[in-house]
Amino acid sequence: MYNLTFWIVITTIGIVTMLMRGSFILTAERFKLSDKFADILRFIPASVLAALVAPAIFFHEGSVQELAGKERLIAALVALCISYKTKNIFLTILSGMGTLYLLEYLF
Amino acid sequence: MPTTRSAKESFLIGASTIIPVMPGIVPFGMLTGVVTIAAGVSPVNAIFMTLFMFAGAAQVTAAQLLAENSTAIMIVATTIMINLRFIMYSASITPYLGKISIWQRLFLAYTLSDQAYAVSIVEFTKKNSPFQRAPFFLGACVSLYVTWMAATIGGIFFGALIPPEWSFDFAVPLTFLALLMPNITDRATALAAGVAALVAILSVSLPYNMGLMAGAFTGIFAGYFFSKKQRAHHV
Repeated sequence: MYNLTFWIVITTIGIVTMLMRGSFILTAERFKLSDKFADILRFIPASVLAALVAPAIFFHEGSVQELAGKERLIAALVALCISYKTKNIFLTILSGMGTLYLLEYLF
Repeated sequence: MPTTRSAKESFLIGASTIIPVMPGIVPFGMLTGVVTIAAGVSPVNAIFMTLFMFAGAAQVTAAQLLAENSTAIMIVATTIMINLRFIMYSASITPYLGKISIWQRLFLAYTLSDQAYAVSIVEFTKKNSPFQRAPFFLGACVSLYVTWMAATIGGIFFGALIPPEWSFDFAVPLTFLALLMPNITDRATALAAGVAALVAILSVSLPYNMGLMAGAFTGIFAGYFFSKKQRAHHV
């Protein structure tokens, strides 16, 4: 079942993504993108990514009892600060993983 | 100004414009591969995912939601939202391409990417660009595609070697955090992200991972209406 779902999902995503990439390229400008749609589009990445990541970190049950199992929440907050300062993907992940290892080692 | 460079030259220069952005793409491609494996997708399936989707953020998202046993509809809807930006790129780049064959159009519909778009639109909006635009853009797309595939497949093999006790699954949410920040460019987008995170946390007990959609949509509309109101004040 998992495997069937997997193939259906990635095939559908592949086709729809191609239709989105090709929306104007394939139709050679027979349509125009509305300004309102472009305005809304601007907020999608920030909203989707935030909604995706927040519960995954907030509700994670970790192994460090002294921190009530919330070591990943702390590590994520450190990574968030680094991300804000540097906007660098690698430093963000490095600082988050580093903080997690440190907390697991300390307690 | 007429184009003075041959199609072949334009293609090669277009392809080479990707080189300066490689330090960003190669690690992100590798990370996408590693994280897909960390989320529990098998290496063979991960390679097919990369071939079918050719999109980093969407692939990491799909892997994470597959691991959470989300419904197929939820996974497809979320990744489509993340990929909606391609419609903007498609609309913006098409007027520059002129007459090109249907095969080239189909190829571009598969390989259009953030970076190939970005380097090409910079060149096309220059006043004195000597290059033929369609070959230039095709060159950028081909070169980015090859780089991405090599990096991601490399990451998939590397990811398969990392032992599970290293807590490397934490790299998945960290990747989302790292991708989130560059999308926060002003107060309106910051508000959108904050509202989305809060609503997603509060509505986590909704069935079928609907809290994700609830958070995303309230975030989008909070940001949109805030920016509209801001603009109304400034006029």
